[in-house]
Amino acid sequence: MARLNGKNIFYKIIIIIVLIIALAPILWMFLSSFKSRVDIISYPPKLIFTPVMDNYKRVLQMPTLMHGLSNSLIIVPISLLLGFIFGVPVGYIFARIKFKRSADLRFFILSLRFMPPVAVALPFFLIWMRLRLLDSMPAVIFTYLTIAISTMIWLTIECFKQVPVECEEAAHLEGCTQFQVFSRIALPLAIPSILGMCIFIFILLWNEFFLAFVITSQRAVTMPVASAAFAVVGMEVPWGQICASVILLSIPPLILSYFFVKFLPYFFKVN
Amino acid sequence: MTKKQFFLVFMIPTFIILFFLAFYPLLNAFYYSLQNWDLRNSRPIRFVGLKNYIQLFTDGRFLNSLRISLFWSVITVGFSVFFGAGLLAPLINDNAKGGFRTICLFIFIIPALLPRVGAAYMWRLMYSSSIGIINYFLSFFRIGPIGFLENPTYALYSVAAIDIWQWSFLIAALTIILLQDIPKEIVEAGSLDGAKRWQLYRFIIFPVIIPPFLSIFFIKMMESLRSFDFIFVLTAGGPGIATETLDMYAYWQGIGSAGRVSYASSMSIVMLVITIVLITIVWRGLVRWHD
Repeated sequence: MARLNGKNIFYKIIIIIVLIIALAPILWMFLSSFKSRVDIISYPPKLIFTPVMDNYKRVLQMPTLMHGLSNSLIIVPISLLLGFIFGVPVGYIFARIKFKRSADLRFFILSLRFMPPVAVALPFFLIWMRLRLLDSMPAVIFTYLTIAISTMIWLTIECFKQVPVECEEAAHLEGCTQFQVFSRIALPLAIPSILGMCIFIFILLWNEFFLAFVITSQRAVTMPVASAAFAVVGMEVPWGQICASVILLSIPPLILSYFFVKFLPYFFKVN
Repeated sequence: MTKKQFFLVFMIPTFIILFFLAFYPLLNAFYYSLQNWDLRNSRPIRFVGLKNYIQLFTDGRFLNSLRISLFWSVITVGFSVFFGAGLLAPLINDNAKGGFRTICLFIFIIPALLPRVGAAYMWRLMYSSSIGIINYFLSFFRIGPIGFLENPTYALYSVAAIDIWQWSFLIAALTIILLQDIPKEIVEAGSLDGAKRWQLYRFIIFPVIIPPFLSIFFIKMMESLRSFDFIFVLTAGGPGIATETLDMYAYWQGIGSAGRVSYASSMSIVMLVITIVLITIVWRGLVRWHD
């Protein structure tokens, strides 16, 4: 047990202050999302007020935002699923099969993840414009595959390495084909951590703003793009609606964050 | 299915997609960068050689955005590593145990998981010079109101503070997890020798976690190139061009209002080259320094 002396209490207080700094912006926005128009622009800022649901009601009736929400709910899972189909077997191959140029291909995959966004966004904008697919969901999904597939491969290599090789060798001896070893032994054993990676990629794609902002304008806007439309500088800022829409936008990542702590070290490995 | 068939069946489709996604846009961008394509101008498109690249380095606004991007990377990487690994991680590691520690870790990753557009709005509300809570607190000390985002002197720092807020906590959480793997004996041996707390960290604990920590540092550096979300929501590059980073400027030139596709393409090629060169230098440097 830690002794409760003065120094101890001092550090505990510092930690509490730090935690408040971490959460304050979210809590403040959460509170503000229940404020009436008058309460939000009142100065000094009000901590105690009568909560109202007006902002949420209004946001849920805004066509662009609801459109963005439903688009995001289609685009993100489909991109994730395609990332899974094309990425997971390749992650397994990198983890288990030795071949020439393996290291070079791995570096190529990593570099995809780290390309400066503008260098990617502008060429994609031009390609989709030429193909007349600008502002369409297939264009967004295909562009997102850059993130989904490369991140999926990179993260699942580690997951498959954790699977004991002995299990796979035994299956080989039993006469299983390579595909059976992968689908019946390796994948089921690695699936818990692979699902953790999927959560990470889901959050990554859900939060993605710049690429979607560049290649969509109306029909295919995602939720972050629809929310950012409030940002036109110089306009009178509708804070109540912004707060409500930002809280809606942040709910999925916040719920998923619970599963996140456990897998955290995986996401930051560069070998 | 033999090993070889398995390999080919799954590798070929994936790498066709990835090579297409990586190289087709880039080759296209390079091709356009040698032309004079302009969405606002209906003159025939023709090749102009390296004219766009030469023009870039005489364009004051481009050089300004280059300077701002570099400055942004240096301060966000520097401060978030300093606060996260240097201050927050030791604070939690020494003073929070058991369940409290887990709660701290959980709270620390929340800022980084928020959509950056959302985080940007949260801070814009708090920064406001008329209704913002930060200016309200400052008024107790008879300071302000400060136009955090309206004043060109403060705007870049104000936006960078948000990035530092997100990343300090994330880096702290990652460092704490790394610290958990350090054998207790090493630390105890050090403290028996009478080392002070900060000396323990400086000379014993941090050197052990340097290799994994370098990859965190590296990732933060790459991510600091993604400043567009914050800057777009908070200042859109303003006031004037005080917060106009490379991606913001390239966006205005190529996609936003100006429509100078070829010129913006040359900018994205230059950005790519700079990134590749910087990554290689930093990565080599880090590896050598560690050895």
